[in-house]
Amino acid sequence: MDFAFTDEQLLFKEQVLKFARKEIVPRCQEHDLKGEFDFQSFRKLGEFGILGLHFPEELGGGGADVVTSVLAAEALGEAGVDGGLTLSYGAHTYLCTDTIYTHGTAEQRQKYLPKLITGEKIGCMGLTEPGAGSDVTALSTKAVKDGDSYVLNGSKMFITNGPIADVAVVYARTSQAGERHEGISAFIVEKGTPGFSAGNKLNKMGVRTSYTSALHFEDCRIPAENLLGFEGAGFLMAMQTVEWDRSTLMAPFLGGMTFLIEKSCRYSLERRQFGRPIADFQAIKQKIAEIKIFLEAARALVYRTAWCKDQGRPLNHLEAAVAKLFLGDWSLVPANHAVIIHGGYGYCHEYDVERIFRDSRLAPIGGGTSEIQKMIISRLM
Amino acid sequence: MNFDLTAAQKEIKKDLGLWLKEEAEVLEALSQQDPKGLEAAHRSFLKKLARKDYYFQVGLNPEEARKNPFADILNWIFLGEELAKVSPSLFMALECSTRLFGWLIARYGHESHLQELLNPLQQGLLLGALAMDESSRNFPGQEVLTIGQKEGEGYRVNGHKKQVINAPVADWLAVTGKVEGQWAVFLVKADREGLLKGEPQRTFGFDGLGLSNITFNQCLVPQEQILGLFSRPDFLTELRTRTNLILTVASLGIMDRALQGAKHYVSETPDGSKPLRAYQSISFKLAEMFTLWQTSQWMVYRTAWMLETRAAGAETMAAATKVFVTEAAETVAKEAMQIMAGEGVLAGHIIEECYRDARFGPVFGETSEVLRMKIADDCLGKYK
Repeated sequence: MDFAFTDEQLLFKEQVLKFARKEIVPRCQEHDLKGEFDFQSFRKLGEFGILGLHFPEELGGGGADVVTSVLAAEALGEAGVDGGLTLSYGAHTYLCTDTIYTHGTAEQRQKYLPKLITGEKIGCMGLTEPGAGSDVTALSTKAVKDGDSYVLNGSKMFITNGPIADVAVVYARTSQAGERHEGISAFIVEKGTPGFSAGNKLNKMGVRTSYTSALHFEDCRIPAENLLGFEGAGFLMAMQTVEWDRSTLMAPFLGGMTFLIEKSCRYSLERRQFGRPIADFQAIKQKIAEIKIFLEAARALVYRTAWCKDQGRPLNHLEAAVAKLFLGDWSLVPANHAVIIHGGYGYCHEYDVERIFRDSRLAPIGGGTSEIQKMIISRLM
Repeated sequence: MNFDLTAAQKEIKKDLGLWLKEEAEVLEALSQQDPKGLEAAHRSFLKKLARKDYYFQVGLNPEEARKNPFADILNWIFLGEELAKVSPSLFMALECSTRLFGWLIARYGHESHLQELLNPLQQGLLLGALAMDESSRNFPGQEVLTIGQKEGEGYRVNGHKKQVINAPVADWLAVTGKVEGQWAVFLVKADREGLLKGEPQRTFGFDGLGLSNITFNQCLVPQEQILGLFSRPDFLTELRTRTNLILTVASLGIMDRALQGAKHYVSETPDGSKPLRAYQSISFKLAEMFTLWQTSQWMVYRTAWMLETRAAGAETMAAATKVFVTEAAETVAKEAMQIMAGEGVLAGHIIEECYRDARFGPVFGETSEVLRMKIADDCLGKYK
C-alpha cells in the first residue's frame, strides 16, 4: 500500500493552484452574486489544459492519468474556485466529452473533441427527466429510427450547462422490449438542431455560476451517425460516468474543505472578541478541527476511486457509493462550521464561506442522491 | 500510489484470520473469566499466538525500530485488525504489552533487555505494561511527578500512575518518569519491592481487560533497568501516538463486530417473517454504519502509511484519525443496538459489549477533546 503521489502529480497540482488563484478566483464572487456563467474563466480552464487533461494528446488533451485529474480538480477547490464553475467543468469534461471519447467513433471524436477540450464549445449531458431522476431507467424521452435519422421527443430536467451547451449527450429510449435499462441509447445532439431547445436558466440556491435548465426535444431529427456506440448501450454509458462522478467531480469538495480551513483560520486569528483573537477559544478550535477531520477522512475514498480507474478496474459500486455518501452527507457539517466561525459575516455574500455553504448543499443531491447511495450500499454490503 | 495489499500481506492476514476463527470459542470465553482465570487464559493464548511468529515480530525489529519509531506499522495494522474484530479486549491487552512495552524495548532497550525482555515477549512468555498517565486530568505538558533519585547504582523511584492497562497481570512494567530533570523509562519487574499495585479496576467496557493504578514507594530500580535519559520527551509523543493507534484499530474491530452482528440479525426471518433489512429505515442505518466503517478503515491505513514514511502532517493525521474512528465506532455500536432493539441491550450480547467497548476509544489515550485542540493548533499554526 502506498498513498504517495508522484512528484509530477504534485507539481501539476501546484501549478493549477497558482493558475486558479491568479486567473479564476478573483472573478468568482462577482459571477456568483450575479448568477452568471463565467465564459472567460471557462475558456481559461481550456487554455490551461484542464478541460482535456486525461484525453490523448493527439486530440488536444494532456494525456494525464485519473489521479492527476483528481488533483487538478482538488486544486481548483483549494484555490477557492466556486462550485458552479467546477460543476460546469465536471459536467462538460467528464459527463459529455469523455462519453464521446470513450464510446464515440473516430469520426465523432475528431469532430467534437478538439473544440470541447479547448473550451471553444461547451458540453452537457441529458439524462435526468421530470419523471426520471433517481429512477433513471424510467426515462421516457424517445428516439425513433426513421431512415438515416433518429427523431427525438421528450424533455430533460436539471441539466448542468443546458442553456449554454453547444453539444449534448442525450439519453433516450429506443426500445420498449426487454428490461427497462436495455432500451436506452445515447445520442449526440448539437445546438441549433431544429426541435432542440433549452428551457430558462433555473434560479438555484448554490452553484449559481453554473447554468441549469431543462432540455426539450420536439420532433428533433438528428443524423443516425450521432448515435453513440450501439442501440441499447446507453444505460451502461451513463453508469460509466459514475466513475468520474465519484472521483474528479468529488475532488473539488476536498479542495473546498482545505479552502474552508484556510479561510476559517485566517478569520479567527484576525477577528478579536473579549480582547483576544477568537482562535483562542476552544469552541472555535473545535470547529476548525472538525473540518480538518472530515477532509482527512474523505481523501482516501476519492483518491482510491481515481486510482482504481487508472488501473483499468471496473467500478466497485459499493465503494463508490460509500465515497459519494460520505462526501455528500458529511460535508454539510464542516461547511456549516465555517459559516458559524465567521459569525454574521459568514451569512453575507461577501464572504466565501457563505457561497461554499450554499454550493455544498448540492453534494448529497447531484450525481445520485444520498438515499440512492444508501440503497446501493445496503444491497451490496 | 497503490491501494492494494501485497500478496504476502494478504496471505498473512488470511492465515491469521483463519486461525482466529478456529480459536473463536476460546476467545469468546475470555471475557467471562475471573481475574485469575483471565490471566491464565491470556498467557495460554499468547503462547499459541506466538507460534504464528509474524504477529510478535512485526514492528519489533530493534534495528528498524531504532531508525524509525513507526517502522512496519502498516503491516501491524493489517494483522491487528484481524484480532481486534474477534476480541477487542484481548487485542488491547496484547497490544499494550507488545506494541507499547515491547516496542520501547526494541527502540530504546540495551542488548540485555532484548535478550531478557523482548525475546520472551515475542515467544508469548512475557506480558508487559506501560505506565504513563498520572493525574486524572491528563493534560498535555503536565508536569511528571514520578521521579527517580540517584541512590548507589540505581534510582529510588516514587510516584503514582493511574489506570495502567495490564498492570494486574503484567510480568514487567515500563514506567515513564524523570531523573535529574531528564526523561527516563524505568523497567520494573512486577514483584519488585516498592511497586504497589492497586485493586483491579472494573471498567464500563472491555470486559477482561486488566487495569489498575500503581504506586511507587521508595522502589529501587537498578541503573541497568533504565532507558534514557532523554533530554526531550519525543518518546512520549511516539508512545501517545502508538496508544492512540491501538485504540483506533480496536475501534475498527468493534465496528466490524457490531456491523456483522447487526447484519446477521436483520437478515433473519423468524417464522417466515419479512427480514428487518427489507425496511428502508433499517437498511439505511446499515448503509451509514458501513460507510463509517469503510471510511475509518481507509483513514487508518493512510495514517499508518504516513507515519511509517514520516510524511509531513502525519501526527495531525493520526490525531484526526483517532477522533474520527473512535467516535465512528460509538455511532456504529449505538445504531447496531438500535437495530437490535431489546435484544441488543441484554447483558453479554455481542452488541451490548460493542456499545460498552466503543465508549473506551474517545476517552482513553488522548481524549477527543485534547486531540481536537491539537488538530486546530496545527491548522492555525500555518497562518500565524
